[in-house]
Amino acid sequence: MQVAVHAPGYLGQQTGRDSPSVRVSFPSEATVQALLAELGIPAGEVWRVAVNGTLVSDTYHLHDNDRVMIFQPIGGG
Amino acid sequence: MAYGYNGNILRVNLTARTVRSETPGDDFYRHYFGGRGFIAYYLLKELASHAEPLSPENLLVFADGVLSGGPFGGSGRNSVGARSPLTGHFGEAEVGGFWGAELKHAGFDAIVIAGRADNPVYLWVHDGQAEIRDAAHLWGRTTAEAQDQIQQDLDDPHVRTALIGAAGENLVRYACIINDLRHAAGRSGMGAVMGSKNLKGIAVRGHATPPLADPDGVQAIARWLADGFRDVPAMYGLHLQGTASGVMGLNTVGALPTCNFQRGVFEGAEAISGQKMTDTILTGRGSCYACPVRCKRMVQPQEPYGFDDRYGGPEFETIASFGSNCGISNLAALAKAHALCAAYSLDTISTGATIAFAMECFERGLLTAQDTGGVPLRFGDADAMLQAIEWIAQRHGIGHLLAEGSQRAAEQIGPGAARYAMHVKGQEIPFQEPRLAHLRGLGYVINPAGADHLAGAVDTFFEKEGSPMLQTYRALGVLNPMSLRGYNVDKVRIYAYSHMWTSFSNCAVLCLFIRYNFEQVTKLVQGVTGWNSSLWELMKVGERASSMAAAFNAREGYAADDRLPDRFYTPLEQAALQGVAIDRAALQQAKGWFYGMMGWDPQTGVPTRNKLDELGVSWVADILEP
Repeated sequence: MQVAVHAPGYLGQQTGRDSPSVRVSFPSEATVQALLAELGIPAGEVWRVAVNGTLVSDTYHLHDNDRVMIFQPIGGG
Repeated sequence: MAYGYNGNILRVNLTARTVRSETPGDDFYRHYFGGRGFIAYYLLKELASHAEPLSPENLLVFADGVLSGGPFGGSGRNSVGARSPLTGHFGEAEVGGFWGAELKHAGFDAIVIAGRADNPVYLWVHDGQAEIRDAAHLWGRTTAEAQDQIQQDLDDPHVRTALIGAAGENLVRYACIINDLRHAAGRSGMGAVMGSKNLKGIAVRGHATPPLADPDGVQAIARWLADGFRDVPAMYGLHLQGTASGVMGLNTVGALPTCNFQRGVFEGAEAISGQKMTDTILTGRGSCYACPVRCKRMVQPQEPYGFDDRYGGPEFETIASFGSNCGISNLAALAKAHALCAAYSLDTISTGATIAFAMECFERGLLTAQDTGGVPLRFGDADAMLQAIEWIAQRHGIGHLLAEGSQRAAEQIGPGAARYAMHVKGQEIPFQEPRLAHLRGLGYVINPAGADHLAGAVDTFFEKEGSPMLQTYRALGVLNPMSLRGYNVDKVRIYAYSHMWTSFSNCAVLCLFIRYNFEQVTKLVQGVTGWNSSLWELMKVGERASSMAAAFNAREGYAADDRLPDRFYTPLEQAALQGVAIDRAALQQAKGWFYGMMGWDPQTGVPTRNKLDELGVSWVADILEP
């Protein structure tokens, strides 16, 4: 199973510099929680996760080709 | 010996055409610190009560902070303050870039400007000197044209500028001041005050940096930022996509202001997102003085929306202002809107919000094509939006009405229009939906300068156990996460603390996007100044400045003038926020708690004598109770 992850700011170490996106493969079914662990992102640092445009919880089970977006809170700009 | 600052305040009287320097002494710097503190001090001490904001009597204060110009990220900023022509209240704007640092290096910590010049002038400040110069040849020019001409006149391409364009000259009530062509002192109409004084700009150039008390200590923190910002998601995200990285998250939760806050989901969100900008028009990442994060956007204009690319690219507030909140998903047009506002010196928040207000009035029949010069001013029409910006800057046609801001425009349009004017104290509301994070609503109403999304840190940052902000605030005794909705005394307590801290940052004048923790900032202050400062002292600096700003409002007769537009008490209808609204009575109660915690009267928001005494500004209490 493979999912596409878009997570601006969270992926500096995993994907090299200046890329906010990565594809992640799992041998079998995985949850959002497992995805965050795989990427080394502490769950407490994540504000919201959406899969295919819909908000999900950390226990949501991912599916092949899911498009995952990991959001930070924003406050300014 | 003073470290970190010059000890010199430049005093300018444009009526008398005089300049002089004064040296207020070290205690002044430690007590008021700069930025908001300096502005509140001079407005309370020297501005006559009820002075008309656009009269020669108003004072215009450009203020660095003690940390400005230091060799570390976040130090390139300055504040600008005056009595606001938009709100009548305490007016203040903070701005990044390089100008603030250059002023410090030019030998001054602040400039206090009084009077009105007979003819257009600009101020030339350089290496401890200042002179008033003729600006007749600059009047009517865009900020880029004016900067080019000033640099040519002074024969120095490295001169930094703070300028107004047509909007400031034409006294648009929300005109801003543009630093270095692409950084805006956006809020409160400070550009209109500048225009009312016939002051086109301030050019600065300096070659001396005040010494640091502990250069190695300061350098260690600067190195932490340079080496480590990519490991802090909040900062690395800003580097990659700028503040526009927030567009998709807010839209997904149903909190992206759309069509004048009528909705929170915008179907065109992806087309105006940070990722779309990165993939299409982004050409580079701009910076402020000494900052490695480089969160600013440089963009390539797209036909038919040409502009001078030195104006940089739009940030989140600008994208939401002219984009989702005007129903427009054309990113190239939004970049053009940003550039027009930089060229004419218009606050992008108030400009877009006022246009969105006019669009709703048009769609509801309160304005007609006869009012708008035959242009249907409808949501989603990018060309009409761009036309409206031009009209506002020139006060042409309906632009003359909209240049007054949404509150005054609604009064002139007539009955029924006021409910669509989204402002607090007359200042248009930024595009952080308060129905998502209810503390944001509290922040909008309690801030002395009117609606401001940076009056404090809100619920979204404290929602999860383990969130970086919660971890930081444990140092203040904030131990538990909070929910996004509703109010209780614990949430308000956290907001009061964060308001004091952001107020300190506005005195320092330090960038809030740099995620220094409290200990690092305290060490920066110690390392820059040599003072034995504590976090407690810095919090008091912020509390003092905010209380002085509230006292200024009280002196002007604005007690208890704090309320949200009715729309925020009406539920949203989409996505995760479906059915969510702010409870009017609960917000009113929270406001009383906040005022009480700040030592302000719980009913009126006026700082009490006891609090002002405790903050070491009894003289302010004497002004309120002579």
